[in-house]
Amino acid sequence: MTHIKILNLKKYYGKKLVLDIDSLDLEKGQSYGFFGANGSGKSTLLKCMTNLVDYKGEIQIENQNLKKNPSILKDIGLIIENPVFYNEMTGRKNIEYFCDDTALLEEYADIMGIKDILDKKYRSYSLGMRQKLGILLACVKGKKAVILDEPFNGLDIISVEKAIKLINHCHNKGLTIILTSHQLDISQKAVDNIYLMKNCRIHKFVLPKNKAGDKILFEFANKGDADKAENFLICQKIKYEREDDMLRVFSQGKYTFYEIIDLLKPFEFIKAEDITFSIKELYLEMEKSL
Amino acid sequence: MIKKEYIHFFTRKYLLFLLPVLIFVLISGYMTFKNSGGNDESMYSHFSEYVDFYENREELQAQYDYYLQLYKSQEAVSDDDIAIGNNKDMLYKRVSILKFCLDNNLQFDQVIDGANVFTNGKYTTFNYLYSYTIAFVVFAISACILLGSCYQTADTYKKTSIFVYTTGEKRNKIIDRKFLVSLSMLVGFSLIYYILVALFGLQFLKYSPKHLLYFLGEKLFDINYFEFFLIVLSSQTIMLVLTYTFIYYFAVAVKNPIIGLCTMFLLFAVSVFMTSILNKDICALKDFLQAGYIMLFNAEVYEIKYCLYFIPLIVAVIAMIVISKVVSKKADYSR
Repeated sequence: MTHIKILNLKKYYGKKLVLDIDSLDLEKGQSYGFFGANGSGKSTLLKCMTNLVDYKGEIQIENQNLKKNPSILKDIGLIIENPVFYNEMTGRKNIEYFCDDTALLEEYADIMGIKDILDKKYRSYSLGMRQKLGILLACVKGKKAVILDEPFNGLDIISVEKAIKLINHCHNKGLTIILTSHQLDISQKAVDNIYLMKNCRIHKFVLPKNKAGDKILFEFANKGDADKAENFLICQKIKYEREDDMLRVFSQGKYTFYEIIDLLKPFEFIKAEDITFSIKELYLEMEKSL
Repeated sequence: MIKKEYIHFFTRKYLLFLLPVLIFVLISGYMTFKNSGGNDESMYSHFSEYVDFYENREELQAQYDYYLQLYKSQEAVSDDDIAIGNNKDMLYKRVSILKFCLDNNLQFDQVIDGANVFTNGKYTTFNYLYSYTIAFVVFAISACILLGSCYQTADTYKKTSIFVYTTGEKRNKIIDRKFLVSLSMLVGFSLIYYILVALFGLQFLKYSPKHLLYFLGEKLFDINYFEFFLIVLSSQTIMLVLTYTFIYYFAVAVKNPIIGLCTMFLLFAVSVFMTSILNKDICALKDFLQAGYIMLFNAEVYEIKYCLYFIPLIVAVIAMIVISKVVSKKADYSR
């Protein structure tokens, strides 16, 4: 079931065309990530979807024209760029001001780990805390969909994990999730469908049909260890690619991620990363081809 | 939502800038009332320039007959006569007021004319209320400019507008609600101020005349203190609403509190400067813009035609509302 439908969307800043989408259907309950270089139109797309900017074309949310019925935004939580709240109010008061139904506030604040700062004045919040409050508001307000523009900006690793947990929690409850980010490898954990934005247009990004652990990157402390590991892989007839002290190992479905790690444990690698779905690498490959 | 908006109103810190203005207004009102012309004796008596002192009805009748004769003779037209207030127009007013005193059997100190309220210092309830009213104009204009320029545009400036304008309500509905909340607070505060001043003014009730007489054209009006209070209140409120509406929707249209603030301060500064060097009609316009039609009762400009200034002002306000609604519909509230 289509939740958000975009038809012939065009957005100009002055005379410059920044967005040109012929057709895009976003299904209800699915999660979508929009990635692209700076200025590729990601934020502008979300601003159009939330009626913050004027545009040409049509955006339908639940079969209703957004321009004619902005009331459909009532159940959509969002953050666009860096969220800004009222300095003079506490985090809790801010959320209550922008959101009528705050029944989920405590539960979600707990997931985000900001329950203890909710009653502090917003002015005292750090950049990361402000971002977390923004994500919290978006998730509390979003009864049908959550739209997040660069949600992980300014967050530390633990906070990112908590934010992803909250976003996935909302997604599991049947909400449509739409996000944009520069942090491709982090964001891919929160979305199922990925779109690439380039030259004002969007392109569906199809993930390869691989299994986790099919491609693992090993980094060794010195050349000697890398050489030994390479010889071992040759003996075991396991495919690999060598680049300095790094080895890209292709398990080809024969081994899991942890089995490969066990096999190479004697060679004292300093880092092992599953890059089967490394969106960064796939993104760079795809961008080159567009 | 409207309740939330009222609570949120008091979180606006810039409102504190109005506190020194209010203190200035109170001091200014006190000084105006206390130090305006006249000696101590005349402060408590001789409330009408048109009535010479009389002790009884016979003296009043004699005075009336004399000025009526003078008025009918139509001789008093020289420059000297004008200077002492004996021109045709002045004589008509003098005769009318004396007749009013005769008809109502009033004592010498029971009537006060407009000139003695608006230009001369007297210790009466009317003067007290008027002094503090004129001083309050400074606060009213400052509050209109500050609140009107910043109340809605601060959101755009700080980018809280992203949340404000994505709640699902129509933009213009949000803008209008903010307008109504801020306007009602402004009007409410003014109302409290005028009621308090009117109550404090009652301390002069013992010395005060009961009848304020003034002319609109050739018609003589007699109003009591309560009616005077209602005129002051209504005229100031009408001006406050029109001024605030214009500034608020101007700021909405330009989307920037600083541009709004600067433009409006400049507009008022230029109007004050221009009127100080231009003619009487423009002076009346300045008074009108600053204080409402109560200022038109001022001895120099008490002509009802100046109330026509309302028409272009109302047209300008309506035009500004329409422009701002068109602009805000297409505005980008994310940057």
